[in-house]
Amino acid sequence: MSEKKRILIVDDESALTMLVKLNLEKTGRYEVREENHAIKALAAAKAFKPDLVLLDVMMPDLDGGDVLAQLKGDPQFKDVPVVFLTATVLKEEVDKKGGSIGGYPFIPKPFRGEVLLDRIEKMLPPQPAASASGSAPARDPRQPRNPEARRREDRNPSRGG
Amino acid sequence: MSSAPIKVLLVEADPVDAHGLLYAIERKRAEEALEKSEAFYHSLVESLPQNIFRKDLDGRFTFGNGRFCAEIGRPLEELVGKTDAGFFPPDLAAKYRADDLRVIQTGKSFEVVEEHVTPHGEKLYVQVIKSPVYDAAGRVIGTQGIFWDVTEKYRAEEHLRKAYAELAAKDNELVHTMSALKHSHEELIQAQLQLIQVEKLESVGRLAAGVAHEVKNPLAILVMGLEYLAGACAAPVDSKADGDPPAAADGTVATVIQAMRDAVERADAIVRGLVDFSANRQLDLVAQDLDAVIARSLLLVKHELTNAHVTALHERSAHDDPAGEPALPCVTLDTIKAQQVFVNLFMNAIYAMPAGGRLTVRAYAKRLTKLERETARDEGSRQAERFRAGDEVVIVEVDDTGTGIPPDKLAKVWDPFFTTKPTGRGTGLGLPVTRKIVELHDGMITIANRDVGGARVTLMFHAARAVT
Repeated sequence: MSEKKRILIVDDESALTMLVKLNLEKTGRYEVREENHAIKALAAAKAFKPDLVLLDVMMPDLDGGDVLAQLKGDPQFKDVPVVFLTATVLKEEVDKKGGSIGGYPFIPKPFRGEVLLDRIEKMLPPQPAASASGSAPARDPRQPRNPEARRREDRNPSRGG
Repeated sequence: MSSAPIKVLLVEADPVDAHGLLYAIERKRAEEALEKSEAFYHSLVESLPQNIFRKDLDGRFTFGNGRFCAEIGRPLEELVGKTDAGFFPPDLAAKYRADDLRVIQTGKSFEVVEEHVTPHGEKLYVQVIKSPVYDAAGRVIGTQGIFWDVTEKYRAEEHLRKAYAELAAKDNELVHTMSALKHSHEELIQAQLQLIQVEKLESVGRLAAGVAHEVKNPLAILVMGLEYLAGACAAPVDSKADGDPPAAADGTVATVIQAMRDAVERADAIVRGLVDFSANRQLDLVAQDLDAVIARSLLLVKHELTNAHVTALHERSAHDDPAGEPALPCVTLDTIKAQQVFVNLFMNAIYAMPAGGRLTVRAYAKRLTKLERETARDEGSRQAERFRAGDEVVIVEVDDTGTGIPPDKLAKVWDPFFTTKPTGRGTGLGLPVTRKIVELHDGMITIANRDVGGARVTLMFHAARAVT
């Protein structure tokens, strides 16, 4: 039985986070935690230790870009993949927001479930079933060969896209 | 028998016939009476200040009093037997003859004021009365005329008539001018309403982008909800995967459906809010709750607030009675124009807080004290004239925690085209148009810096008369 990937979704729209959680958990492959207050995002990440973070761009207290900066400032989450969700329409606004959205993928709202899943799966390839003997899973050749990296291997195969 | 002694001339003759003598005496008496009567008439006629004359049926003068003779400049002997043609120009003579004939034929007198040219050529106005003259048997034997100079009186009346006509003409002009002025005024109001609409469309453009954002979240909810429901319909309840809790079809589905319904309503409200806001309508004043208008205006700028990290706080009136009566008296407003005022003020506040901050809006009722009104007037505000001590008013305060307004610019903010925004952003018409709208509502608007930092815009409106 493969382990469920943990996904943290940060968005002030509670009905939306509820529905994303329902739809993602329905696949049986993910466990989702919702956080509707950007200010609490970092604390939620520390408690939940997500494999991937879905981040809304425009929120009342902090922008998605600010939350991203907080996460990346913490060594624990430096390599956690992030996907932005945005209702933004204009490219200028997209570029303006946080400045660091460039380089991270974003999904425009409204999005279909399969688009979301597709993006998540690109960034978190499903693990081949680990045998009971605990043999090491296949290593992503792009990851540096070092002890720290190996520990994080199964969490963070790649980012960007 | 008269008392005067009768002088009898004794003549030698045959014995006198007694009847004949008596007859002679009677006749003498009658003659004397007649003479007396004629003398009386004569002196009367001669002494009156009017011109008097008589003519026969052929229009020949039979008599003229002294005055009349002097008037035409001839002695009586030369007058009698002649017609008007002998003394007056032909057309005038003809007119007189016609008048005479009318009197003779109708047997009725007529009276008139007419122009008269004396034989010397002088033009006068005379009042004339011509009447028929009857003999003892009641037949018309001629005409009698009497006339006198009314030139002065006539001229005075003419003058008055003229003055009156001039006045009537001026009055007409005045009515026309008033009408033109009224028309002009209406055109001016239309032009102002046009300008108000133009300024509003400026902000509608910005708000539209915000609306697009605000609608995307509800749409995202709908898409996610539909997918969930599609799955719930397809999969039977007892199919589980990996120890997941069952789909709990009933509870969760109901929740999802409700979330979707709420999303649709929200999207509809936001879009409709903007569509209504952008409509171009004439002034439509209705007594309403100002708090409701404020709430809708905040909704219109929700996206802008989020974008700028500005929290909005709408402080409702403290004495709210949950049992029903709103604490805030109604104000007579044109809903859309009032929204325009608040949208403008909120956008200005947001712009003044580039690093985020707080926007506070509160509305409350008050009865104006004399002191407050005087203070407002002393600040040079002409608008204060619209209010009196004792007036029931509703005051709205819009506070921000922004940069405030530099004191040297405070007076200028109302100037058309004055703006602190960079070129291309903002028309500089927001505040002037806002003030115009407030004026149209008979209200007052002032702006000042707050001691704690930031600015406060204060609006004041008359409370609407209570309607049962």
